[in-house]
Amino acid sequence: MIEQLAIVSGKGGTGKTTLCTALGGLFKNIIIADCDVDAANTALIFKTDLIKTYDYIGSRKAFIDHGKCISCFACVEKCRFGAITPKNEKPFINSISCEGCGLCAKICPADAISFSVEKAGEYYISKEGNITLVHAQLYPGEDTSGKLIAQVRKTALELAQTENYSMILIDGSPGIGCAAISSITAVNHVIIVTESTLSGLHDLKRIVSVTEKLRRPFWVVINKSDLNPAITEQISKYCESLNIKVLGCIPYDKTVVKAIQEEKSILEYDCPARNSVIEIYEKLRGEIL
Amino acid sequence: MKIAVLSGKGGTGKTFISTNLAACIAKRHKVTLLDCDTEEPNCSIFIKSKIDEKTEVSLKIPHIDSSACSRCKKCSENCYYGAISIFKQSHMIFDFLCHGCGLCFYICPCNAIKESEKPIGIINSYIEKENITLHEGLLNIGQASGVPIIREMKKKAADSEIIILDSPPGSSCSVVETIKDIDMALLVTEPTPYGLHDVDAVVNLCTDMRIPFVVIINKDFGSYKKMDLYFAEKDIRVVSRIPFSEEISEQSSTGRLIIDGKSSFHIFESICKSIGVIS
Repeated sequence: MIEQLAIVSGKGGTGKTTLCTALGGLFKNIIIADCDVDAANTALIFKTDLIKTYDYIGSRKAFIDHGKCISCFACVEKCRFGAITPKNEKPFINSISCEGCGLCAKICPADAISFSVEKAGEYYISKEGNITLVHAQLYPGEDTSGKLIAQVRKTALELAQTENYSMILIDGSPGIGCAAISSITAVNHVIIVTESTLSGLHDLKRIVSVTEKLRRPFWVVINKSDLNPAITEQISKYCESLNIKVLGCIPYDKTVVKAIQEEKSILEYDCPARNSVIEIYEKLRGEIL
Repeated sequence: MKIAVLSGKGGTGKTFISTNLAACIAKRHKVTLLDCDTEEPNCSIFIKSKIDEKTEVSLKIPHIDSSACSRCKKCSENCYYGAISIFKQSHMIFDFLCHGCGLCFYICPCNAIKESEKPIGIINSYIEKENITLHEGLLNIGQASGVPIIREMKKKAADSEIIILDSPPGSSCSVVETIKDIDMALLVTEPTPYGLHDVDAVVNLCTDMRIPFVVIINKDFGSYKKMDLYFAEKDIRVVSRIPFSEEISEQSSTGRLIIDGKSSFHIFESICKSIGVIS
C-alpha cells in the first residue's frame, strides 16, 4: 500500500514547507507532491533536476464573434458571474471573471459565442538522489487550482505505483477551500501545522472541521511554540478537549530563517528546530508503520 | 481609494499590514476594511468590535422534479462542472461541484429544474469602531470557493471613500476577485527565497491586470541581495522595510495592533504618505 500523508495548516506561513522538506529528508523511498500550486516552494530546497514537464490546460473561456453578434445583450443579462459587460453597443467578455459555464453560448440567438481553452500552467517531475518531486506552477490569475492539485497527486500516485515508492508526502495549500480540500481528499493521514498565535488557533479550528468532514485521521504540530506559551497552552487544551493528538512542538528558532535564506533543509543545521522535527518523525513512524 | 494588501506566500504579514494601516488612516479619516481571506479571515482578531449584521451569501443550486423530467440528459451533458448525473430511474446533484451558473435551469426542455438558494458563507459586518468599519467574509466549512462572498462584500463598501482589502494568499481566483477593481496594491513579502518566488507571482498578476503596486518588505532580518536586485531590475518601488522584531511578533500573536507604539506609528504613517492615502 502507498501511504499518502498530507501537511496542511489553514493559516499560511506556519511552516508546512519547512516540516515537509525536513520529513522528506528523513523518510526514505518517498515522493514529495508540492500541492501549494500558487506558491510552490519545495523545489527551492531540493536542488532537483527536471525530468519531465507537462502542460496544464485550465478551464475554458467564452469568446464573442462580434461579426455575428446582434447586440441583444441576453448574455449580459443572464451571466451570473458578471463576466459580460456592454461597451459601444456590443457585449464584451471579461475572461478573468468567466467561469466557462457555457450559459451565454447556449442562449445566444445568433450563435455568436464559442469557447477556447488555454494552457494555465505546467507540472513537473524532478529528481535528485533519493528525492522525487512532483510539483507545479499555476499561472497567476488562473482559477482551477483544485484541478491542478488533483493532477499533481495523480501523477505522483502513478509514479509511486510504477517505481515502487511506499509513500507520498503532500505539501498542501493554505486555507480551507478547494485547494486545501484537494490536498487532503482520500489521503491516509493529515498533519495540521499551527503556530502559537491567536490567528493560528482560529485557523486551526477551521481546517480541523474540514479534515473531520472529509473523515481523514490527523495530528497537530505546534510550530514556533515558545513565541507565546499562553497561546500554545490554549492550543494544547483545545486539542485535548477534542481528543486530537499533538505530535510535537517546534520551538521558534532563528536557524529556520537562516536555512530558508540559504535554500537548505533544516536537517543540515544542528539546531533545536531540527531536533524537534526528528522527534516528530520518530513518533510519526510509530503511528504509520 | 481602494487599496488591496496581497503577498502570494502565506504568513508574510498581510493581515498585520492591513489592520495596522487601517488603524493608522483611521486617526484622521473613516476607513472600511474588507477581510477577503474568506477561508481563514483574521482581521476581527485585531479590530475588536461587535458584529452588527450578518448577511448570508448563497448560490442558486438546481433541483430536479423527477415527475416532470424526461431523462433527456441535456442538463448533465452540458454541465461544465460535472455536477449533475441522470440515471434511468433517479438523478444526483453534486452541490459542491455546482457553480450556480443556471445553465441547466435555462436549457431544460421540460421545465423540470427549479433552483433554490444554498448558503455558502456569511458576511459579518462589525459596528464602526474608532473610524474603522470591518466587513468579514467567512466561507462555510466544506465549501470550495469564497469568490461569490468577496463579490457581495464589495457591494457593502460601495459608498466608502477609503477601502483596505486584506487579500487571501496565493494568486488564483479569489485573489483576482479581490483586486480586480482596486486602485493600488501593496505587496507584502519577506526577504527569503520563498518570499521572492511567491511575490514574483503577484507582481506578474498585477502587471497583467494593469494594477499599480508598491512593495513592503516585512520581517526584515537583514538584506537578501537577490530580492533587492529583483526589485531594482524591475524598477519596483519598496516603500517600507519593517524590521523583524520579537516584540512585534509577540504583540501580533495576541491580536494587538502595533501602531499605538510611537516608532511603529511612524512606520505606518510613512507608508500612508508614500502611497498618497494621507497627505
